[in-house]
Amino acid sequence: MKDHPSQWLDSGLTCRDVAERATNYLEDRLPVFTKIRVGLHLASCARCRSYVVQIGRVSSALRGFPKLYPSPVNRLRLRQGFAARHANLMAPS
Amino acid sequence: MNADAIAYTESIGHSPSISSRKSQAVKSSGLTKAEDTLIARLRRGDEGAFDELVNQHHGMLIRMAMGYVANREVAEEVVQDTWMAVIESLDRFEGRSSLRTWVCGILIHKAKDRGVRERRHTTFSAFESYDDDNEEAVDPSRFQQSGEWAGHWAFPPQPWDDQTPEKLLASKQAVDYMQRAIEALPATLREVLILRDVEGVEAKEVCEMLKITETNLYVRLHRARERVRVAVETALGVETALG
Repeated sequence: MKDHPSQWLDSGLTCRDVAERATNYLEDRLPVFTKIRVGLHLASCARCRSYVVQIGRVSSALRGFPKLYPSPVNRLRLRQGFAARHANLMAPS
Repeated sequence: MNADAIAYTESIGHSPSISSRKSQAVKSSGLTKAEDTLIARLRRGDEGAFDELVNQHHGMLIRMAMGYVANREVAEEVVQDTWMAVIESLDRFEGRSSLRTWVCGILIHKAKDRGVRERRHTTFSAFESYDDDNEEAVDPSRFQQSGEWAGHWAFPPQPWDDQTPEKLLASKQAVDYMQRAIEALPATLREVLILRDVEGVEAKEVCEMLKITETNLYVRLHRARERVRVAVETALGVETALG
């Protein structure tokens, strides 16, 4: 595979154009004709392929970030607050 | 009063009588069946349901709050206040949006308010500047500025062919750099990245939560992803240099 746009069919896009559209490309939000042009550029440009892959991997890695929970003390306070509120609502006025 | 404040006031501003509270039914139009069930359990006082709610959304709230306040400790306080407001106003939740959107709206209002009180005006200056959607995500100096190859890479990304998302997450250096990059993002970029990528919220719901258009969402998301990508690029470069 050739690795520079100059050596392939010209998509009419620069690397800068493609880099700016990377998220829209990955999220399938580009108009059909633009998507074809980006695909054409990526087929011939290893640098832009790397860039688009990296943006996708960052997004996937973020999805794996650890979940966060309240500290035991804060959780206890929240449970107490929740129980007190419910008891208050149920109490005869 | 801004839209967030109005929504917040609508949701917790008045306290109807117990009889009217009990007569309020959740309108299911904006809610999934799972949310409908969860709300019913919450209104019965089911503490397990409340734990589930907290477990589902606490991380999102902490990470969102960090975009508005000085540090993690203050963010924890803001989120604790948010949960207390949720407890107080749960019976007035009408189901016009998802439960997550409603809770997030309360958090944003409280975090902005706390941020202003802390005089952290930089956050809001950044908010204004990042409303300019014409700014490019990728540093223009990474491209050739003139000549036959103008607009093509001058300083291309280094290939990470062996860096799967799992490998990135296993690298303490990469995770540290990513977290620092996220913490350094202005609130407008940070909130879209957290909601869309970290929490996996659908684009339509993110737009509803933040009151932005889908075009605006993806412009911000790409800028945020690029900044985190640069952080990973730096981390991997450091690892290689040390390695």
